[in-house]
Amino acid sequence: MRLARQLARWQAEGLIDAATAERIAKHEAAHRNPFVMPALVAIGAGAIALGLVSIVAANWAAIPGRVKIAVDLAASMALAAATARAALRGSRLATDALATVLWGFTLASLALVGQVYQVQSPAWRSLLLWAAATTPLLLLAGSRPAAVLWAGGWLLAQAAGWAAIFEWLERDVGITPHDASNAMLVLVAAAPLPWIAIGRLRRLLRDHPVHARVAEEIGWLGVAVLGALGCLAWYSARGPEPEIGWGVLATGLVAAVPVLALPRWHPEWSASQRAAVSLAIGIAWATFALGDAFPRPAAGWVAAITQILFFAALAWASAAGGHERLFRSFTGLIGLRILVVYLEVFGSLLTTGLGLVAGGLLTLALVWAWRRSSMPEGGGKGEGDGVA
Amino acid sequence: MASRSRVALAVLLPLAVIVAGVVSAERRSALAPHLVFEIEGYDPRDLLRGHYLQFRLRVPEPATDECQGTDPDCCLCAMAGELGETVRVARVSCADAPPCDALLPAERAAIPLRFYVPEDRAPELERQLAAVAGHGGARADVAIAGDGTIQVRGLWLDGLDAGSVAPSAPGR
Repeated sequence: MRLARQLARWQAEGLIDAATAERIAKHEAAHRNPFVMPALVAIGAGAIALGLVSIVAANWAAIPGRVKIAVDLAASMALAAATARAALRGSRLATDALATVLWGFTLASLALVGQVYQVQSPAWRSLLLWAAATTPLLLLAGSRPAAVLWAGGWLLAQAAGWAAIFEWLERDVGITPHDASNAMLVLVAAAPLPWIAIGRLRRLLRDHPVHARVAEEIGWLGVAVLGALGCLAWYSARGPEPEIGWGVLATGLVAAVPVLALPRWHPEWSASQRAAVSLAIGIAWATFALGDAFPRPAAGWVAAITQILFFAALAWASAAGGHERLFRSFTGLIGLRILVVYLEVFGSLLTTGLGLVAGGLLTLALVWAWRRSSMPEGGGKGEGDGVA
Repeated sequence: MASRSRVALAVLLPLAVIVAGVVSAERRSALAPHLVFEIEGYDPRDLLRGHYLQFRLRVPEPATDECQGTDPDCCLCAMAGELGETVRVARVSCADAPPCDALLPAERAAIPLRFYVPEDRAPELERQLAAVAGHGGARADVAIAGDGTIQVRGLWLDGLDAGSVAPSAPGR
């Protein structure tokens, strides 16, 4: 509708003729990215799945346990048959909806088995089993929302599994709490790497490009979040004894993995894009490592400056890769971070107010600079926000 | 369009996992000896799995005590009691255990267990468990698999069945 209105306006203003308008409309219709409908389907089907989990959680006493199991199995089979039918008929939307419901229903069923038979197995085992068993199902659904759900299942399993590893290290292996914390730190630092590696798997890229893309996006999002958090180490003071220990060096090795693997993962990236990503990772790790290297007082300003540098390197990488929306997000984060600095640094109402005004001006200056840089050649007016 | 074999794998794998869970729980419930423990402690609530009572097994005085309960190599060798009696245990080395009805790492016996109860009965059972646990009035019938997985077959509060997979289990 929006495009039709725009085409009509451009035609009325004599910018394009009727034939061009028709060609543009046809082109856009053919290349439209169907996101809204699959997203609505995912929301509806996801609500059904969540509702089923909730009904199971209610543990309705009126139905004997084995009858519940029998009804559950019958419903699972019916859902599986309907999903298979939709997939074999090539109905994408129906396949997406049914696969999503079956995905949630499988989790509800595993919970039901645990509930009816009072099995005391740990949550991570069920979540891992569920994520693995439903992976082919969600690969069958090709939409982005389905891919996000697929990744969400694995993220849950990953989080639960790593919490269990942490518990196991302390309880069964018997390592000291200090070593266990170091090991956990390394595990958390390494968390995004399997996602990026999975996203770059050739076969996944070829057969399920949407899933591959979602996996890689989650990995890089994890890198960005962990990098930003790493800078925060400077908010607390470091005493005479190192607080972390060998985990610092080990996280350095972990940080080196994406830097070294970048040319293999993304040979199509430009040298400056790879350099910018490596720089961002380097800034985050160096800030974190230096924070534990020597006794020092708390220095929030170091955290703030390095975090801004980290976001700036990521903004540079986004610009070098032509990802304008990402570039805008990171420059926006820099603006926000500057505002936070002013709130942190100043104490009285007057100085905080002055700081906020200065921070606001700085942010507006950033917006102005960004707007100028994204203007088309010749400095066009009006729509100059450079939408990608 | 997806191939038939891919579609079959995609829809049958989740079903297979559910069926395997049911079969394994049914087998354990039917075959493992009934080990009745007194229980203590409580604490309900869980979003994913619904309402449950939380308790620990109260391990009786061991007949033999060859190792410390905190030692990772220490196991409880459990022998089912006579009808209406609680379990008998010996604390032995896991590697050198005599024949038992079930062998459970001693540390695992201290882990809280959950017993899922209907949402509308949870507060009442929670109060009941708090009142009778610790006075010998609460008992659980558990099945222990070879890998140490515990399944609570039944729970009795003051002799009354609080919900059981196998109601024939001796609770009193």
